[in-house]
Amino acid sequence: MSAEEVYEKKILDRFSDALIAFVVKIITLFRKDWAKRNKSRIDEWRLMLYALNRSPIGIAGLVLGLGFVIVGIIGPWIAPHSYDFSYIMATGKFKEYYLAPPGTGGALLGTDDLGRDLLSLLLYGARVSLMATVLVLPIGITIGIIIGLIAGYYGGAVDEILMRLTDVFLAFPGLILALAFSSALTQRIALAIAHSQFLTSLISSLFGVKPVDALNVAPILSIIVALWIVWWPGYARMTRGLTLQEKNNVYVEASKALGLSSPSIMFRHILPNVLGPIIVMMTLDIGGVILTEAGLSFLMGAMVKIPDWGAIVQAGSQYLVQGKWWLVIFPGLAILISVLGWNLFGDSLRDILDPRTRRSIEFKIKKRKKIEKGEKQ
Amino acid sequence: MSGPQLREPLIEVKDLYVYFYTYAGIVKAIEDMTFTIYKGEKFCMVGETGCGKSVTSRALANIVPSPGRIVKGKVIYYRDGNPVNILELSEEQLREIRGKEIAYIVQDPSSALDPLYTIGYQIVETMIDHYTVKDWKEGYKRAVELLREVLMPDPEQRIRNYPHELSGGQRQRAVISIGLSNMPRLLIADEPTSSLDVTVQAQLLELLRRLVREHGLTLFLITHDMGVVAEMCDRVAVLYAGNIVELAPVDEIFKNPKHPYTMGLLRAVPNPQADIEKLEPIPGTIPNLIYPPPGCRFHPRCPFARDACKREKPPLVEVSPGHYVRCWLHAE
Amino acid sequence: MADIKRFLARRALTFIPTLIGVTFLAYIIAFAIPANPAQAWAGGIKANPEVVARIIREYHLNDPWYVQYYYFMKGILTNSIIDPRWGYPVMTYMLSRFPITFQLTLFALFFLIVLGIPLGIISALKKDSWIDALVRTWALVGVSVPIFWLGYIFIYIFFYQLGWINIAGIPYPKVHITGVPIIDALLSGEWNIVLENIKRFILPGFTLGFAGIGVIARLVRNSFLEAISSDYIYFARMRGLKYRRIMTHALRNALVPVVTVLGLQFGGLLGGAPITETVFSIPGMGRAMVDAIFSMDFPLLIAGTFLVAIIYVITNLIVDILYAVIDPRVRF
Repeated sequence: MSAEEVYEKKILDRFSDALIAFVVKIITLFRKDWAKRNKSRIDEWRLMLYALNRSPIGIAGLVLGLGFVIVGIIGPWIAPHSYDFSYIMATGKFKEYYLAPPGTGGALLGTDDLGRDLLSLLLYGARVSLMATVLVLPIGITIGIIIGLIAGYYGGAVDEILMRLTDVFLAFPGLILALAFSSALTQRIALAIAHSQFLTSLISSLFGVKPVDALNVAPILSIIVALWIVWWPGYARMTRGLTLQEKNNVYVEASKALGLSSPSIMFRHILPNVLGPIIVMMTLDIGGVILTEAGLSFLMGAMVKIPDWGAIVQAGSQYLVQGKWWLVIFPGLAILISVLGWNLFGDSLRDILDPRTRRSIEFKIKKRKKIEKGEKQ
Repeated sequence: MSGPQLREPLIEVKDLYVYFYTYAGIVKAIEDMTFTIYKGEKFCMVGETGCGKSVTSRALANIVPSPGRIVKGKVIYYRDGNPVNILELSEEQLREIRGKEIAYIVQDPSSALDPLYTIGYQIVETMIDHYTVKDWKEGYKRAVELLREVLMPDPEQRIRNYPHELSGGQRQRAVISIGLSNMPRLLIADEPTSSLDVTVQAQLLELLRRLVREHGLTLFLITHDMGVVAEMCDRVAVLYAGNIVELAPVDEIFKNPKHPYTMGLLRAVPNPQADIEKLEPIPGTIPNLIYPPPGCRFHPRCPFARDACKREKPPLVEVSPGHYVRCWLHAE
Repeated sequence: MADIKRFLARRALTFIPTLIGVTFLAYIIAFAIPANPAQAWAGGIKANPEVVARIIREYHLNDPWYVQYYYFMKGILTNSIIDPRWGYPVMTYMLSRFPITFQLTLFALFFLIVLGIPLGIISALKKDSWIDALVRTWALVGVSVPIFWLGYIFIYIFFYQLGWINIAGIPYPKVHITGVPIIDALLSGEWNIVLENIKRFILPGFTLGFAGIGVIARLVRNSFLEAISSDYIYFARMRGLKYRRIMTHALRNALVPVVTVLGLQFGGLLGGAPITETVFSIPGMGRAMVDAIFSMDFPLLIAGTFLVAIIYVITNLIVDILYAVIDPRVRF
């Protein structure tokens, strides 16, 4: 149609425009004419962001999800108190601090059975949760993508072997497999940390704990390693399926005819085209990782001696039947909000990227500038 | 061939408007549609993709797909001589008519059949729900007969097959036998052969012609193929962008086309009734029906377009007995 | 039926390598175990070195991995891996806990089916109503709620505040037929025990199934919506089928993907069992596995993991067969 289509702009859209301009600028620093050659891709991004701006649920999810990330980063620094109870001991008023309900004694969310401030524990716990997400997903996904690409691209016996392997891992309910691995690995990881000065300081700064407690991060680290083992098969299967579809396209044939190497075709040509669904799945999996990590640390309970949301609930649960609800309710709420945020965001991202719902969203964004009378060619 | 005016009408469409309410806007799919189908005739509707042929046929049993809506008009159906307005019937009354008195044969048999049920089941349920057989056992017997009649090979076996186990031609035969199962008074065939191979197409058209003749059915055939029109029809309506632009007995259309679009259409396809040296495409594309051109909808592509064509929509006028044209060139 | 047999044969062939792989992976967990659990089993730091040496010999802790795998496989196949703490064969011990976990999963599955499927259908039929909003919210919130948290909230409300439920012990019937308390009680007609079991398991079952109910409801909703907007349903309406028959067609098609997802959900339920059993102190397999972690009873932990995997693999096999029975297209 010859009538030009223009966008109806809202405040958030200007924000998105600035964001895209910034990203483009950064890429241009490395590759000179990238922006010119990828004009349609940039337009695509803009349209996606505009669509997101018109989804209140997606925006709410993004705000919650980013909130989780920000609190995770700054949590240990803004926490009013330390996570260990030496400061309580120093006051000598342990009795007053013991299981104080929310709002008493300067503890906004109450205190636990060691007298520690629950809010501070949750802020430290946010860092642990964030680190688990950051350490699990990129590695799990990378393994999955590589295996899926290879299986889908080469096909035949390679595909058969890799997919049977994937089946084996998928034959275990994820949480059970992770539970077994993480409990088996804890001691080995603790040993490794104990023997390395470098690991000790790295881990204590990453997880926001004191260097003496680095050893106590071992259960969390073993959960993280166990989650790598559990997380890749899903991505391997998905990438394989997408690669199989993509492989039939002419451009793959053309790349082969041009003599490009297989890794180059796989990673530079097929991968960018299958990334959309993978990103959606990843967004939805952020919540999954937070939840599974919390579940495992809940089960390992007393073994986890650093503040972690799941472990806090476990420790507090014994006081629930005495009516001390806050030790269970608040950490659980923290998990729920973080997970829900990413799930809401992932859900609307899926709608935006799904070609079936895509068109209706586009029509809501686009407004025709003017209607030409009697359309002529 | 006797003059169609002398015959008894079966269905009359009067001043029909069908709009589609989409995200992009209101698509004015059908406007100002008036025509009559007479008992026992083979009526054809021809036009390009998206011109509203299928929508018109669906409107006859008031089953326009969503988001389409019949905004205005009448569809008078002569039920045993009594005229009823289809558009005013209740859903249950319509259900009794659909599939029993007005039956459809659809374009794409592979998606029209439920993949989870055998074709035998799907033929029989159509009869069971209209009480034309007394039980499932009799139904299956009848289904075998029907399949044999549509020349399905090995019908006793085929009734036990699932749709995906049949070839495209066999699936279409199954759909045709569903259409015939209750011996409808009006059989609406919507591009029944366009998804099939050319050889199968010819066989099926031949079959359809024979069935209509043997059972004395009224046929409403939709096609985009002038060759099929010439072979199958008594009368033909040419559709352009939701309007009937010309309606005439089939010989008249081929020998004496009046509307510029019909003429273009005949030049664009091999014409079986006139020798034309060279095929010529019609310049331009079909208009956007959300913002249809004012006046005559064909004027942007019409070589004879005048000022009046851009301003006002021409009426459908009878230029010779039974020959109607919607064009300012013939409106005087 | 012949193609069902062929399908089964092929499916069984992929089942065997998976099964071998599962034993291998379970073995790798055993291999990842820290250097010296023997000391812990023998009684910690003050353990008698002779006992430690005997345990190392008995469990082949110092042998190379293939020797260990051999003994591991042999132990599993002959059920001769003895629990270092209690001296039972670990498989026997785990299997004795299985009926309780099975009953818990059964309750959860019950909620998934009797709540999830109808909710999905209603929300599809009444699109954009409050029930539709509920289903969509439930699907999103359900997968975001930590189940231990949900469980504790229920305990707080129904146990601490209202005192309606009981969270200790399992009411067993006098008769032992299948080992699953509620089934045995039903079979022997001990109605009060059935009731007690329902009271004891209804909240854990709902907690465990909570996420799944939302997932299933949304899936049913979407696949039902897809089914009723499909061509075959449209054609079914054109054929004038009765409303109930059309709905049956739509429902059967909509439930095809649900079967697969129910199978996957079953894995999720088994995985969630350790948490639910811990929260509601139910002495099932999951609880036994968690206890095993704390006492470093790795043979028991591995036996449990292995058993759960076997159950899950077999369930998936059953689901695949069921899928082939419902959907004729899969049998090829």
